[in-house]
Amino acid sequence: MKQNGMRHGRHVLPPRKAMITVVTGLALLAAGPALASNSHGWQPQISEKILVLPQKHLERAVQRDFAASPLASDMLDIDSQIATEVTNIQSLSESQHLYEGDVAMEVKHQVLAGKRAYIGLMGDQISLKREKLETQLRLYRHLARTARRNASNLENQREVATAIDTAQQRAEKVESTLREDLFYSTNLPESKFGEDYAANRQAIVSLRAAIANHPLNRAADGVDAPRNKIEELQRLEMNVEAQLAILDMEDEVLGHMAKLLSLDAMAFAEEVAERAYLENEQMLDAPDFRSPAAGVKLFVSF
Amino acid sequence: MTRHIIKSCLVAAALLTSAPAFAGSLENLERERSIMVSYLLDADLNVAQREEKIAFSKRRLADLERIALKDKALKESRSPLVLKVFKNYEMSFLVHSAAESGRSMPTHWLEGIGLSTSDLLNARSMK
Repeated sequence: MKQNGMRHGRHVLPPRKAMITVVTGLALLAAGPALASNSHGWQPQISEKILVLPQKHLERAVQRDFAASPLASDMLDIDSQIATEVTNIQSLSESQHLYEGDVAMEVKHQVLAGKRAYIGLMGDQISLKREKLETQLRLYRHLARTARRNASNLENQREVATAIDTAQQRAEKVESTLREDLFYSTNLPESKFGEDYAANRQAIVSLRAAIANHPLNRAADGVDAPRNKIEELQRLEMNVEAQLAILDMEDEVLGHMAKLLSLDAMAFAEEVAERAYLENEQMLDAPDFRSPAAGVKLFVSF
Repeated sequence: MTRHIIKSCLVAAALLTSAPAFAGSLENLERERSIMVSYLLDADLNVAQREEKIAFSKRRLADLERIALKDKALKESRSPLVLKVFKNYEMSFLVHSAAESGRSMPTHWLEGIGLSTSDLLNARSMK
């Protein structure tokens, strides 16, 4: 009874609260490293207004946003380090045959060290690429969700816009006829608004023609050009997922390279050990003058 | 008496077929359109006076239709009233749709509400 009373007396969290506490704790633990890793990464600054832009400009805007991020500069930095490392390895490998003995061994060692650095840098680069692609994928998915939500919310608005577009097109077709009709039938001078409207309309028509004929405007019109924003975002998502799959393969290639390098390093270690052993052997084969019998030859001449 | 009944029916038809007033450009358009219809139906005007008034009204109406057609605020609207105005293009944009159909604006409007020249002549002959 006393035990029971003590048990009741203890501060025990209700199961639901306990679960919430555990889940929150786990979430914080999981979020911690992610937040830390994103501090120098890429946090897209693109707003949802990007969906208003013409379709082909979306990808360019995302690339521009990425280029301005710390992640892009980190990747460029690693790229230049990789280029330096590759040049170093190539020059050492090309001149390896010119050296002999210890110098040759040192060059070989430098090549192996260079390869190890190259693999390390390449691994870092792949991690950064993965971070970039995963962020890009999240961004495209978010934009696609927004576009879907807008599409369903704005169904009525689109219907109104379509009706207005149709009315505008119909009115546009009769504009010059109407102008002549107003001039002849009413026998009244054109209103100030009418004159300005005609002048601006002419300017708009010529500008629209220029836009339609602009090379950049025509570039994306192909047979498989996306029909709407959601379709384009889905296509962009697919491209990113394909790049992530390639990245997985690159990871595998890097794994094989690392394995090969470790075998090379083991072979090199064995070679060094063998050299050391042979040098010891030679030392052992050398005449030992520490006993008087070995030095007899110095004294006896035949 | 019959004349008054016809006039009342036409005004009622005009009100029923027209789109309800909407703020801004559509409201102005609707106001001018009702003025034009009132000139058309005003029995106190002679032919010359009616033509003159309708000519003035037509020019204003043309400008107001252009303003409404170019009103960007309407594109962002989700109002069924706006939708109805643009769907009912023939009766909402009288000057433009009359030019499209190649008829005079009064004829276009009367035919729009279901009254042809022969219908009107028949109504007169019944009197």
